[in-house]
Amino acid sequence: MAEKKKVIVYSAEWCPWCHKAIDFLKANKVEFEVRDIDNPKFATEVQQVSGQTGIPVITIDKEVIVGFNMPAIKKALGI
Amino acid sequence: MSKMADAYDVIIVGGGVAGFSAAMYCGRLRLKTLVIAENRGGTIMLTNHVTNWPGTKAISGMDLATNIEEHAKEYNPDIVDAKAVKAEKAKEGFSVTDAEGKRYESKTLILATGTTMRKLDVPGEKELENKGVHSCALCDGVFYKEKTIAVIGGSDSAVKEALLLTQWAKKVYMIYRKEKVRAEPINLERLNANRKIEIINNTNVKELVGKGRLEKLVFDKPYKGSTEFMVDGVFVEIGRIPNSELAKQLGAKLNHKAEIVINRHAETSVPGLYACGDVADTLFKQAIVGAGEAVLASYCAYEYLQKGKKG
Repeated sequence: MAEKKKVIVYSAEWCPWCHKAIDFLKANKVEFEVRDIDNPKFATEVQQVSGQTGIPVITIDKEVIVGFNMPAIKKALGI
Repeated sequence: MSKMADAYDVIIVGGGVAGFSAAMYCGRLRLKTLVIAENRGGTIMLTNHVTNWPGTKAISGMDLATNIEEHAKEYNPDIVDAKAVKAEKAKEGFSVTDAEGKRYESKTLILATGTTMRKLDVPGEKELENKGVHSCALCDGVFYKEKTIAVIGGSDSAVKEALLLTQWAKKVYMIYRKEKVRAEPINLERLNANRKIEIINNTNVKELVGKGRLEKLVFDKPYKGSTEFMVDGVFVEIGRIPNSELAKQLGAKLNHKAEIVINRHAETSVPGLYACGDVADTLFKQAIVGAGEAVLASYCAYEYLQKGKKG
């Protein structure tokens, strides 16, 4: 059985594509952690992780996906 | 046999307001329907408050898009999350191929492919994308709390972006190439009442400068004695480009803006091919207009199929 991947979603409450990404993960029963970039700590962290200031950012283990890129998320999760 | 193996009555390309409105109505008309959607939700997702949807005083763009999609799903259309890259005439009507090479056939085709953000096309734009250069205020505005930012553009959409950004930024400049911004009167009133926004008119941005992150804009003429303008971020809202490539492949008539020309029945110049929403040559690009066109397209596709049966 494949090892569970660590999934983090950097998002904001008012960001529509963040909600879409979260809904997608929930629909596919993927466990994940949300880091709200309204918290300055996570706003800084997402820039360090992705080298840019656009959300959502989804990290799947060491892979960093900028934007709600469904094919890339599916591929990274193997679903 | 999978139902995907048979030709559909209708394929709808696009997953925004127009696309799923068409899917909803095609379902009511009992048409066998496939929706091919690159991005479910579409352009309305970028609008924080929709206040012109009849019967609903205010709703977020995301909620509106989700409601319409859920309504359409009541009628069980097949949905493929993919980018449609090729459309051809086929034996029974049309075929559409997605980016993964999967091919689908239908008797009629509705294009609700929407638009793509127009780029400035100036040096620095590509390199600094999401590094100070953005196109979605709702998504990325939060990074500019108490910062100085600029919106490039002077349309109603640009004004709405500027107004939205004032909830985070300490100052928002609107940089517009013409004399007067052109927004709906209600948004102009809001703009004029907002003390955080300042308009720099008759000015073009010719370069975006920064090492790894946007630092300044370069104007085509001096503002307060300099062509260099320091900002923390910039949001580009200079219009949209219609995604009409599939219509072009099928030989449908396009106008000078590359929008798909439709008549009042949402028919294109190609029999059995319909278009609706922002990709069509409609004067007033609004969700309510796109939804109406989508219903017309659906009904006319249904009528077209009925006539074919009567033969």
